[in-house]
Amino acid sequence: MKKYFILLLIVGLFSCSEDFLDRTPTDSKVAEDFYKTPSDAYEGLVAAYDGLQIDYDGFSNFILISEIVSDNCFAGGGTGDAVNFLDAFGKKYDQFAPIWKKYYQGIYRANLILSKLEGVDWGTDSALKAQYQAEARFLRAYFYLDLARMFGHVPLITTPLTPDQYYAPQAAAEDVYKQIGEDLKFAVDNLPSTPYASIPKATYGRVTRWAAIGLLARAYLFYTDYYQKPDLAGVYTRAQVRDLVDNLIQNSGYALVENVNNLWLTAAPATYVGEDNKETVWTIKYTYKAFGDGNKYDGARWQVMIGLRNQISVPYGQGWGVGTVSPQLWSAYRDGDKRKKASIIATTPTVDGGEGITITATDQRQYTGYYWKKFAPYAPTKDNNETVDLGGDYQLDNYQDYPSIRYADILLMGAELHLDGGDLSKAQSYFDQVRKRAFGVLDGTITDAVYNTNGYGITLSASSKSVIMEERRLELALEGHRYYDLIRQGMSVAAQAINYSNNGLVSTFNTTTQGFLEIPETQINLSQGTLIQNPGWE
Amino acid sequence: MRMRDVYRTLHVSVILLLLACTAVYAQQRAVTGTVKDPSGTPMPGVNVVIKGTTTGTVTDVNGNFTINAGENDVLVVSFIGYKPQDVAVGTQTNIGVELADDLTTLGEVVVVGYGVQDKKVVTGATVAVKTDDLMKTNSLQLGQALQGQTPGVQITSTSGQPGEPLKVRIRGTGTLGDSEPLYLVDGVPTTDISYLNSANIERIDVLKDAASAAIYGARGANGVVLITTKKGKAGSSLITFDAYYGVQNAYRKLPMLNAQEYAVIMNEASINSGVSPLYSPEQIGKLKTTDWQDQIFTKNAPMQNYSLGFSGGSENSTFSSAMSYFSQDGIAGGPSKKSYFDRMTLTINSQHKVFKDYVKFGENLTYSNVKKSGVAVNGIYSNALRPFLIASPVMPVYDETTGDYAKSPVAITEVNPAAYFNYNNINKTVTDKLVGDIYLEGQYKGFTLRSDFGSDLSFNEYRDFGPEYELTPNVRNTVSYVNQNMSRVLRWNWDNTLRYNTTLNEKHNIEVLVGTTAQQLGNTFVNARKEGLTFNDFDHAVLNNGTSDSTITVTGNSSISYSIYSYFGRVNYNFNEKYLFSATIRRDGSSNFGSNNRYATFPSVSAGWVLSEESFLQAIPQINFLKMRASWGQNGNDRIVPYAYMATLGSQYRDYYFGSGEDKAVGTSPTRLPNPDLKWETSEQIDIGLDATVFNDFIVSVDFYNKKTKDWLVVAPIPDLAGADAPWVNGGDIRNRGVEIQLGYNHKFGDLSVGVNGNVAFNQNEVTRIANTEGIIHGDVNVLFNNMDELNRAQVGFPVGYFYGLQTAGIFQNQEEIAAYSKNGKEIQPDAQPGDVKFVDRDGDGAITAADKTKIGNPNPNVTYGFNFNLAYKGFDFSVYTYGMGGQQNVVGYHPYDTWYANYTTDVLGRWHGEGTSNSIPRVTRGDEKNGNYKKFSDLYVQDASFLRIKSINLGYDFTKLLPSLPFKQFRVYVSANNLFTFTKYKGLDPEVGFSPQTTGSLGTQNTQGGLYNAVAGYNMTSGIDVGFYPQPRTFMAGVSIKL
Repeated sequence: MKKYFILLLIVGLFSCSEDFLDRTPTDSKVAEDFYKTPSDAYEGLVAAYDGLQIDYDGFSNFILISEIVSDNCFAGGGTGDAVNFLDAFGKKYDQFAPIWKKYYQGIYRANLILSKLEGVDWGTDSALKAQYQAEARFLRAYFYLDLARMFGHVPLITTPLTPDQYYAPQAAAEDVYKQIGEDLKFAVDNLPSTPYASIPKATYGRVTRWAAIGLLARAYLFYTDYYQKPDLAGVYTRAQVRDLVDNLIQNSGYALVENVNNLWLTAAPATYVGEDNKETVWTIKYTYKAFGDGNKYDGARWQVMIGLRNQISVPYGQGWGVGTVSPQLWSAYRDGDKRKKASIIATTPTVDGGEGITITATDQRQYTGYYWKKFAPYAPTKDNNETVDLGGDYQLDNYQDYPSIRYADILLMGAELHLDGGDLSKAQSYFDQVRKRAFGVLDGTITDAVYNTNGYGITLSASSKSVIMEERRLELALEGHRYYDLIRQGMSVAAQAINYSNNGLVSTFNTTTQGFLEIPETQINLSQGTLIQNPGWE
Repeated sequence: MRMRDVYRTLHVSVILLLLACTAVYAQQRAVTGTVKDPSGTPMPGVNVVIKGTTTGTVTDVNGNFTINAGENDVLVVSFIGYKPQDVAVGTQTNIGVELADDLTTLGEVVVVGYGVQDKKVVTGATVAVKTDDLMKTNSLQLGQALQGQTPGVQITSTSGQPGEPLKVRIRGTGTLGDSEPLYLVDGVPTTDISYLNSANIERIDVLKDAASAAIYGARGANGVVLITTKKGKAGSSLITFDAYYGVQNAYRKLPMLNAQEYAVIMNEASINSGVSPLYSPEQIGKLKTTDWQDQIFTKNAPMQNYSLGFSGGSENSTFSSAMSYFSQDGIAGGPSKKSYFDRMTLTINSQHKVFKDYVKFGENLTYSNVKKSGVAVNGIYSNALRPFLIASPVMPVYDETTGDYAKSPVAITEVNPAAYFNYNNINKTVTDKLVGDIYLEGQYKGFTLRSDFGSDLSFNEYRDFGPEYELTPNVRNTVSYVNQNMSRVLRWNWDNTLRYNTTLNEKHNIEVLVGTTAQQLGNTFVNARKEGLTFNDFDHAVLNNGTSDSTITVTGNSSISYSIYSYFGRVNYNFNEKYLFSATIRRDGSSNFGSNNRYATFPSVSAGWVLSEESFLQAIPQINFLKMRASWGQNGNDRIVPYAYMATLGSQYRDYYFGSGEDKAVGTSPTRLPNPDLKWETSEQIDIGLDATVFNDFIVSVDFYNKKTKDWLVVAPIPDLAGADAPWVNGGDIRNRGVEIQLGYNHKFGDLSVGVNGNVAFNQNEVTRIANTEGIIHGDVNVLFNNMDELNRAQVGFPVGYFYGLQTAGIFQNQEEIAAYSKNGKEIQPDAQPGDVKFVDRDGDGAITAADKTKIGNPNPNVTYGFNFNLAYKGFDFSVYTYGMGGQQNVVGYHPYDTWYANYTTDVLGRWHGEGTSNSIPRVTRGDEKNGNYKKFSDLYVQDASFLRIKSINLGYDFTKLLPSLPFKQFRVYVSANNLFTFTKYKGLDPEVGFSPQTTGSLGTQNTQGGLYNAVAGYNMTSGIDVGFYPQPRTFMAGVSIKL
């Protein structure tokens, strides 16, 4: 008996149960147990929305990059800043790696949730599934449209990848735009036509049918112009897109804010109409509520970049002076156009409309005398950016939304779509709404008669595309659209607009790039030879 | 044998026997005696037995014994832990016996995994450092005691800050992740040994080859360091007291430009950059210099240590207890002493026989309390020293009129480093730690069953405080804050072993060991931050004083994240201590891998041949001992973040705020791409060695090894289009091979004993595989300053973490040279101006591009060595310990070339400023020259960092030799100096730079587990990047070491 006891004891000491080695995390979920309920699906969808906010360093932001490479801005910033290279389309090791990564991260999250929707138990709520699917497909289309416009040649990924699929080659542009078209078609067909007034406030920022139509128009115009195609890769014809835009204009309930100044916080802090106003068809949301946590990427991290370098000048908050605004843009506005001062800060008092701000920083690169007013960080007093007063970090937590699709943009796209084979009177009407608002007809600053007698109006014809392009430049300045409007008009138009050399301010477009940015070197190196560098960047 | 012969033999024997008996009987009488230990202390409980009989006695409390013995008898005097001694009785009536320490248990054994082994029969490559050497070097940290004493063990400080970890590499960097060895303190695995006081350490054994470490299979891949704390000895009692006090200083300062030199250089840089000069000659004359380094380096920073130990015991129980206090101020703590380390320890070790000789019970426990505060030492942004090395010397510390910290007269963006230092680096960590084990051991007829439970339990609290300040428009803190963190970490292990020892036919010595070990790691932490404090000082910086409701941040977790379970077995066999053989097998299961790859088996074999036991060598008296040995084995490594194989989902950092921006929607997506096939990393090593003692006094030991680490656990970069953080993979192979030589000479010339010991190790490190197509894992960018390319990488065919950049070929002296440097009529550097750097166009494409980059330096030393010298004469002792490293380079990165007003070292005075003035240092500019003299990482940054350091010099005298009547066994008074000289060509503050940026690869957030995975969160693949390094101090100290 004693022997057995000792044996048992020894065996006991030397044995172990398999559970001992099964460890699961306490602070995260495990994929096998998730994506089961509609609320799981919602969390997956939110993660895809979160992809819109990711901004690894503030420099690698779509708006900022797009404006610097356009004729609107110089790189600016400090002498050591990475954006220097963008003015001359210069190579800088891996300069676009963060933004490349950001977009594919968003695409991954959208693909992932799309792949999981089938497995969710929706119960009776099949409409919810279609809605989530439409939202995720819209987001995927949004990510691809930005990527394809920036880089031209991008791999097309529509499912979560397995390791053997990491080395996907670049897809033909037609395939990418076809996917964009189909994704948007699904969204347009499946989302309800809820007018602006009926959209619950709590859902502002969510994708709507109107947003899908707006993005579709953007995709259509870029693709058909840049690639000289008759339709959106066989998915949408011009007439179909035009009808959808008309439908939006007639039925969405969106309208222009009367005074263009009130659209932008720092242009009119007291009378600012706020975010999600009646002109905001779709916006990317930001908040100060990460409270300095740089991993959250909830803030508009890029905003600090364009602020006045190293100083506060009420109501303009402190920043890094990146993307100094070109004098050309300032002078492109006619006298009387309220958009000039609503969009741009002129520091020099000698300039008409100049605000007499002395920039004290000695290391402001490419000082032009002009800074962004749209999106400028806001400082109600001389002490802090408002972000700081709200508890955030002035570098990370600026919070102004980026209204990616604005009703004014819709109107101008509508006008453009009607120029060619559409209804010219509609084009004129859409165009006039935007332009009259700019000169103050809508808010009563001037009357229609004054507008006409001063010759502010422009009459459109079928060949007025360049007029609309110029109007887009003025209306949508510093909102990230200009560069793509330029390159879709062709390389010579882009070069003519962008090339600049005056008073030491130099900007040079490289036509051999075909307007596309450099594919990140690290990604090419990692691609097993499947990624090919864009021309002009080798 | 014939019958007659048989009878004759028998007859003779009987007569002899009778004679003997008669003699014994006739002369039996009482013999008395006293037994003392080597220090002269009487030993109670010592066995005294007449040889060949069972007649015996035991000494009393005064060490005395009485026994009836005859003149021809031989007494065998024995006691555990001492060499048994035979004493012929002869005519003596009062016998004095002094027992010598048994070298089999003290000097000549080697601690191996789960036991000790006679050094003579060890077949693996191990090296030991014993208490004397530990004590004499008075090392600030335990690990530093190993520096220079153990060939093949490369130890580099990651910072001279008190209590900072050391970087320990055994036989080279074996992996990109955690390359630290496994530490076991009395068998308890732990990751940090800074809680130990060297006075409590009996010995440190380092297991270097795979066969020695194989019994620890899991986690033994980077070598094993076994630390044994002091144990009591039966029959003795000992009180020890050690104390020292020392002062520390920086051993060198960087020679920075003074105000006048600075002004000249700034003027010249401005002119070269097309800006008007800043200073007129008249202004230059009036400038006053601030020596900023005086503001950070503390003069005569104190360091002190007191330890008191008691040990002793009887045959049945032994104990050793000690308490100690150690405190050290850092030399870079500034005027407010923000860098310090205070440690109190209490050790209780004891062992008891609880059932005759069959069952023993014991425990080793060390409690420590550490209080420390540190200044930031990493990188370019959070680095307390760096601002002091680059601040302009024309800025005063304080404003003369206001008395506040002065603003820079040079640029509004320049920060006053003293002010910045004062407002930052305000923190304190308190750690209570209990490390120890309890064990029960049963012995019966050669079988030993042992069950040992160990734990490493620590409680940490941390606070830091940020006051409000505004130094420049962007260096400011507008609202005060406090961070408070509490954590509890428990790592336990339960080891059960069964051992069987036997000797067959007096020649076959066999030991068989089987066992299991289970280990688990769990931790809990809570971390919170609050802003808007109602007090403005550190003492009141607690969460309760935070007033801002909107900015409270709280994180916390509680989990058991890691466990392993292993079976192992070992056979040691030797034939007559001549032919030696050992085999080990271990099967490890780790929770870090999926059930498909959870278990792995790690075998090893080793063999030795003691040639000196062979008759053909016994004829050569000059060869006292000669052994050849060889081993092969595999070890595993599972040190990665937990759950890496699983598809875990995160909700942190995936929020989106819909609506008016107030309502948070929580998002969830995978944190990292899973890799269900993740498996153990394996290191496989061959070792061939030789140990010899010749001419009685010379010791030689040589080892050759080839260590291959296969299937590195690494986050190998994958294309970003995969869309989530890269998975952990078994991503590459690395090879370290080398030679280690140890030589010693120890001899006594009468009263003079001399010891000279030296060792040298050569190691060659090469990456042999990386599991992505380019075969490269890139280093970080922006390491030296913003907007700088990667400067190091791991690449197939190169040493891990090598420096990667452009080669230079001097300075362009004039326009002609620029024009002449052309290819096919096109200038290679069209943007260059005279005075700019000429880069080598390695690929010959007529332009300087990334393709021209190559290996321009290696942070891994190819030789490490140490040389130690001991002299003792009567009561005096004198020793010198040195160590050095050679063949490695550092990147000199303390000047930020993107900050035009940063100060330079006086080296810049030798810059190019006209034809023929320099061919090595380019012209100064404001950093905007198109040539990119310093913006491109090149060999201009790389400097030889080989060094030889006099680690310590000690001189002591033992007063018991002068005054034998003193009641002390030892009363040694000594003076010593640490880091007295460092011989190096390196120009930075300290050539021994262990810092490397933590290349985060695709891993997003680091260290969210309460500090547990520091080393594995990123690739710690390089070393030697000097961006302003906290240097090791030079210390002078005096102390006393008393034994009673």
